[in-house]
Amino acid sequence: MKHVRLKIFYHAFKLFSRSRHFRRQRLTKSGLLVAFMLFVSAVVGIDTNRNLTHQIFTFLCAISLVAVLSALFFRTRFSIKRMLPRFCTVGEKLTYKISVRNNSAKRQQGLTLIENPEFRYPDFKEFISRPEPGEEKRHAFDRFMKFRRWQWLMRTKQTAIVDRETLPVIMPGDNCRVNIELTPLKRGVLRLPTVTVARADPFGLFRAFYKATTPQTLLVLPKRYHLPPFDLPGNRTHQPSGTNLATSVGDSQEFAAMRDYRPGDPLRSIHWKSWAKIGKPVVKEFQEEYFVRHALILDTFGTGGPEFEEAVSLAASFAGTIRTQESLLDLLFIGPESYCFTSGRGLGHTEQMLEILASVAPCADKEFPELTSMVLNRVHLLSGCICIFIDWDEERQNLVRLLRGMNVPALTFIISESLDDSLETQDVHQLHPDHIEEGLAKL
Amino acid sequence: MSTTLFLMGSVLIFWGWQTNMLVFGLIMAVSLEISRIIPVRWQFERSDFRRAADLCILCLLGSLIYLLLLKREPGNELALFQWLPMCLFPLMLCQAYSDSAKVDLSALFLVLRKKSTGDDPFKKAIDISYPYLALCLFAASNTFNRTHEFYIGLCVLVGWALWKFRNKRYPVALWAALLLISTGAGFIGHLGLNNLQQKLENIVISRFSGSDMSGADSSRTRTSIGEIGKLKLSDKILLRVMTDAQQPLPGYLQLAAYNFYSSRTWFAGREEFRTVSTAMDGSTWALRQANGTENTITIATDLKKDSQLLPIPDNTVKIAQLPASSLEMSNMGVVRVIEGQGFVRYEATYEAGKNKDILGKSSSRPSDLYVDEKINTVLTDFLAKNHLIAETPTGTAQNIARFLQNNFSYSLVQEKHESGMTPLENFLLKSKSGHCELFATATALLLRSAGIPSRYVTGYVVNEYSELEKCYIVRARHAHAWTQYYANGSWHTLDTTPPGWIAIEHANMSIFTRLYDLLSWCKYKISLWHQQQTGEGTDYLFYFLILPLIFVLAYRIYSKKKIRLDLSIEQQPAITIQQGKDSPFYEIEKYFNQSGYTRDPAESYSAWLKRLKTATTIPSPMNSLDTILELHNKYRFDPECDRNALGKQVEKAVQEWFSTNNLDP
Repeated sequence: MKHVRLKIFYHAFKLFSRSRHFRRQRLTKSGLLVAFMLFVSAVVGIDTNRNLTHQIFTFLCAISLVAVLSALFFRTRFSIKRMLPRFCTVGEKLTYKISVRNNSAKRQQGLTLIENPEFRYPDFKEFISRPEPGEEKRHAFDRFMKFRRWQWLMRTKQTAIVDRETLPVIMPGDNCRVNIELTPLKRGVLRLPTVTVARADPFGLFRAFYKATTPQTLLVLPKRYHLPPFDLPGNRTHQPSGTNLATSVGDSQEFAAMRDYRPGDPLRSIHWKSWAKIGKPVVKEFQEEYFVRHALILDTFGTGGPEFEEAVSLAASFAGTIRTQESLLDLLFIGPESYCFTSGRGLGHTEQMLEILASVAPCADKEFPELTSMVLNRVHLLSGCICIFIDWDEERQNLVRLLRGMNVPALTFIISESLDDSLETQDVHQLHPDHIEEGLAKL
Repeated sequence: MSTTLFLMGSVLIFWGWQTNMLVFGLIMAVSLEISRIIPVRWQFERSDFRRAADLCILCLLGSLIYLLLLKREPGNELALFQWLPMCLFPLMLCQAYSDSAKVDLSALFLVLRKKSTGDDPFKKAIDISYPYLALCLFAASNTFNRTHEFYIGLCVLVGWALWKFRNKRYPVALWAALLLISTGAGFIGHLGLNNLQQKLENIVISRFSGSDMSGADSSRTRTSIGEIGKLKLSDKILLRVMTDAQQPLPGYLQLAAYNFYSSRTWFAGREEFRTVSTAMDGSTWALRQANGTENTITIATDLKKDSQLLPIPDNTVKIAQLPASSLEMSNMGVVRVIEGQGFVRYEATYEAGKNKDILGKSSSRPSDLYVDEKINTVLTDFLAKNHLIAETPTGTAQNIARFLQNNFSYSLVQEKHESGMTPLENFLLKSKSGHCELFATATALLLRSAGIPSRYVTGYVVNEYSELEKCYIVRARHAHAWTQYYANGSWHTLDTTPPGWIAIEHANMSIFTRLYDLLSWCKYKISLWHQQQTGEGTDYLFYFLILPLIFVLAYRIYSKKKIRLDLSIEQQPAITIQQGKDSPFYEIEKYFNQSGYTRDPAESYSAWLKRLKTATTIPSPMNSLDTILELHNKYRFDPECDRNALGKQVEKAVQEWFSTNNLDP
């Protein structure tokens, strides 16, 4: 019985969302007002003996009918071409050009261009199995109807927001270029299957569509945060295999920077004057032969809620910020299989690492110990670890304990809604998924 | 305001004209339209818009209370719609004179108020000009002037509003033609809709009208014969009857009378109403000359419709204290009020103990004897079998009454009758149980079958005395049907329903009835108080409530921070004419722009001409344009050139280009 009820709700919500989409796509602002007036006049003017509202209804009906019928007479041909960049970032507005060529023999004006990012409605299985975060706090009616859940699912499915653009006059055989502003909402591959050229009716109420199939994709990189200056944990370690692949070998005597002393630094590198000045050992940094190699461990075990997305964003922030000319960075996570991607010293580029992070999906069929064993297999190469977890259970704590036991320092970030101040130590930091930027700034 | 010039003002004047509030309409129109020339704007914050919205809600609630509880006149629900533009005017005014020219959404939706706090700028704001315009049109439509003025005005104003949004792709003539077609289609549509409703109403009334007498139709009704199930009647108090203790109480208050029965339905035939003349005070109506002892009762009720039947005692000779546009009376003594005044408390003077003789020498008509052939056989057999025919009509009537009261029982529950039997046959031959309509119908038809003219009458029985109100009260369930028969030159009342019916219905009374009675009494007292106040001309109370609010709002707005807009910016000519701005080359650009080959603002003239050359369908030859452009650039940008000579040179080149290509500049 419950299944039947949910099925009915699902189809009703889907129908509602479809009609809303239709309304927004097809009706102009004035068309929306006319449609609303039509509805109100139908209700208020139902008794033609009481008032004259039915006259508004019939007049608006006639106007709307003319507007809708005029959509049947929009027969034209266009060639549409997009000029897309390779990447964009979640939440950051992207501007690109679309070229529209008028292949018809008529001058075209009064047209609007609508980009159609791919959108898939949530399926029934998802509807019944994916509760909205915090759904248990909603009141009984919302929990029963599950409309809020549907709204949330619809929001999660939305891939991008695109503004409509008005096309200038296009003469026959001529083409024009318009700038489209697109704001991606989800990382990963953004598919842009079609572009629509819309034409409003003479009254400017209802849009007729010419839909051109122009399948193209765009890689949306994760959101990245500004990180405060970090002293990454760990000391220099000899990299037996890394050096072979590196573009440059051997310590250069070229002075690079000053930094705090780390155990293992040669004494001749100590800058005595600075030590005397600030009271702690400071070394001169030169090109390294012995690399610092860090692991960026990403926890992918979860349901894929906001915590997971923020964890990916944080990982992308580290991947994009750490200077990899002088060090190596291994990105370790478990997806359909175990992944390790190394960048730095010419091995790989930050962009590639961001591309990988753009496509990371939550892992549902494997357990956390698989990540533990993968990390432990490589621990002998590592100077330090950056662990980004979305939970702080026994298994995750165990991994950090093991790393410490092997003298591999681990800087750990736990992204969770339930914060526990007692967990906060020098190496373990908690971040709320809604306040990552603030949390990072406080570190 | 985002509406086109004078559109908002015109709509408001139209609204005022349609709703007979032209003065308000004019004031509001001027207040809004004048904002276009007044350079002062107030920096309203979110809280100010919320206050304005709250004021609108207060006005709305105040109107609701005033119209529905205090004023209580027919058509008040229409008046409420009509007042909507006035109630929401403060918000519109705030928008018109605010620097943002938009209303924050949180002012309109309480849910958003909780979410948005602090002084952050308006994130979601809308321009309410067009929704307000739509509201004014709706308000104007809530009148009932059966002329075509409203429709014409509506079409003109909607067309005017749509002009701004038209797609400029199409010629104006096509737009106007389509608007005309829509206007015509809408006109035919609304006439058709009206006719359709009339037809539907006729069908529905004939099929489903029940026994609730409050909305009795004087021309047609239908008994509930054959209806299955329980007839639930409301305990709602419809009338209050006040009388002196010494006077006899009229048992029945007649509402409607019918004389033609067919297909389980009683009709009044083509009953014509004649207008009753009124005395000078406009509230006293003489129905006929009195020639006997007169009694007077006072009846208090709500006249809800524009035209409604009036409950009166038998033999009413005069009705007093009934304000109405006019009063009409039919040959059967049915009285109809035209444009009653909501709550009324009228006096009905009647002759006690007289038989029905409303027209003086009113006689029976052939329709008073009509019985369907098929039923007639059943009725004749019934009369013969039970020996009900007497020598005199009165004797026959008494026999029928006695027989029905002794052998039939009253019941609100109808058992399903056998197929092939009409409900009346089922009542007479099988069930012998039914409600008042069956008794009255059976009596009327039995009398007709016996050759005695008879009629079917509906109305109310007055028998319940309220200790609380110290008067008789008539509830909806006291609605009743009885018979009148014609004998010895006059009409007589005959009620054959077993007397126990009142007790049976009383037993079914809801346990909350007393509570409803108390509320109804309070409402009655308020109505009575208001009627007395209105009589003393104290409608100024309303203005005492609203005027201080307006003054407070005006003061608050005036004390807000103001900014002054420089409206003259647009009208000022350019201070300096830059060198070469008058170049004739711009004529060529204008020509191409009109042909659709527009230049992007960021595109240089040379790039533009280059692009034009590649266009396949360029309407004009492009030769010599490069030379002209070169001359233009020199004229435009070279500070050392001989401007006069070069200007003439460019002009000549441009003219030559136009003339060579046979084009008009």
